[in-house]
Amino acid sequence: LIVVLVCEARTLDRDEWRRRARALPVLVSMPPERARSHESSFGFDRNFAPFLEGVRRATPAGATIALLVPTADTRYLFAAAYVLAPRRIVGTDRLTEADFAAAYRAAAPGRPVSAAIPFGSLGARP
Amino acid sequence: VTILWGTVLVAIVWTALGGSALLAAAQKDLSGSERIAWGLSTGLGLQAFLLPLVDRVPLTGPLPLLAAGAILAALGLAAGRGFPPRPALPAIGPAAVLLLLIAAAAFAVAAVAFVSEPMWANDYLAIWGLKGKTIFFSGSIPARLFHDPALEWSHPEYPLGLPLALAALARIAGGWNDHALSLLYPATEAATLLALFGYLRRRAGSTAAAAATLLSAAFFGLYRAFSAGMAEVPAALGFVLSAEAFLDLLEGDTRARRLRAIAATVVLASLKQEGLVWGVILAGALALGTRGRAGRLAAAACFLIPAILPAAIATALRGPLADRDLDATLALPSRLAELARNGATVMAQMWRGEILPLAVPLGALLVFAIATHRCPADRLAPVLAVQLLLYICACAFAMDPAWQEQTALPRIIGALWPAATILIGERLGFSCGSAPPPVQ
Repeated sequence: LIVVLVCEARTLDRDEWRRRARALPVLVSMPPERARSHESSFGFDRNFAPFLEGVRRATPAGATIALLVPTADTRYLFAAAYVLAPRRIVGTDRLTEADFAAAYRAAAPGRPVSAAIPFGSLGARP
Repeated sequence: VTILWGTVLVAIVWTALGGSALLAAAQKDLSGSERIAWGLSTGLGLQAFLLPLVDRVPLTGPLPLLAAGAILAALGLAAGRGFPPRPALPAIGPAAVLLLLIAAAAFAVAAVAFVSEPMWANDYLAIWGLKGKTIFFSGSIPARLFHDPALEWSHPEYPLGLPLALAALARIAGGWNDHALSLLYPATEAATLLALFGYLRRRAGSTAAAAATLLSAAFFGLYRAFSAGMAEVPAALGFVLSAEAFLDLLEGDTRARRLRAIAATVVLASLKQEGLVWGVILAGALALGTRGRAGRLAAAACFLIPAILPAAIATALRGPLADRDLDATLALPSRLAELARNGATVMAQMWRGEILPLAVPLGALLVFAIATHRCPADRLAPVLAVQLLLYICACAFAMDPAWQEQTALPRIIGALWPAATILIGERLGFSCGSAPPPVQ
């Protein structure tokens, strides 16, 4: 059982744990949406977090939003669906069902919305 | 922000107290630490069950949920005529204290990892958290969670126990803070460890109990940052509690033990589809393993019915939904060769990816199994083996078996490890002669 225990303990990534322990007090004091942009959720693209936060502030909770991202990477879709919930997120194939189109690093189709959207733009259905 | 961390903690404590009171009638012969674990598991199930009902009341805020929970808890307490007295157990020895201190340190390491950032795993964002947050902010379970083609990647067929539990905790806490809600994960890990220690202390002695608790606490394959927000950590608690209810029922059939079997299985089956499978296997093992004993079918039904119930209710309310990761047509005679190829792919990948890298601990466990005496918890071994076999079969039925084996199989097998340590702990206790006489 000692062998099993040692093998278990060796699976702990100590460097990652130390980094997490150091970041914990800082992140706990932040609102979760800000804390989220600093750590693993947006490790694939840090700029996507402020973009989503801008879209969240500019759209009502019951809206359907078509998401336009320059890649097929599903992490963009999953992060957007979660951060913007309970808004309904659809792909560009369902643009006609959307109240808004949110385009990351691109110009959104539709009537431009005046809200500040970092790293992207928001268009409302004409 | 700080207030929400505090209120989430209070919500978790409230949940555990409510669950404990609801299950008061079933706590006879349970040690104090087990009662905390049963309380949290039952309380999470209770809040998840109540949330969609109180959402129909035209009142906002935590009050309706708190009131409904308090009423049911009071009814449970009245039915049990208060909490039964705890059984007298031998004192915890110095070796057990040392092992428990190391287990507490391992728990603290995992707890820091769990709460180090807002929950972030892909499955949390795409499945559990998305549904929980949508339910919380919608004040209902929107039909689009099941039927919207734009959400088909979020596994609409999965049980809603975890999203509802998260939404209920957020409702009681007064807001959705997905960083503070991660406190649920150290809480469920602590409950799992308490359940293991309490159960094994009365069955195998405190040193063996502490050793098994340490083996679970140090399992960083399950208790790690990535697991926060996923269903595996709460499911591990469900596997442990239902396994303990199963072993208690094998030893002696009482009303309290049957109630515990129902409570653990219904909560587990509400969390994960694997819980349904587990409940059915436990029911089968109980029905087959207690030959000649009157009432064995009734006892088996205490696992079977609650295992099926959540899926049956969900199907009745939202209609049948297929698992998009699995391809049932592989069972057709014309595709059996393809199914066999998938099975071979999964086995080969398991051999390379899991079995060979884990050869040393697996070999050590084999030596332990040979060197130790048989014990009543050995009845859990075939249950675990069948569950494992069904996981491998499910992988063979996957649209992409290699991907499924790589991403999901180790994770879902890992959730069974704490339940497996029951067997290890009891064997250790029986072999060292430290097992006390069974508490009736």
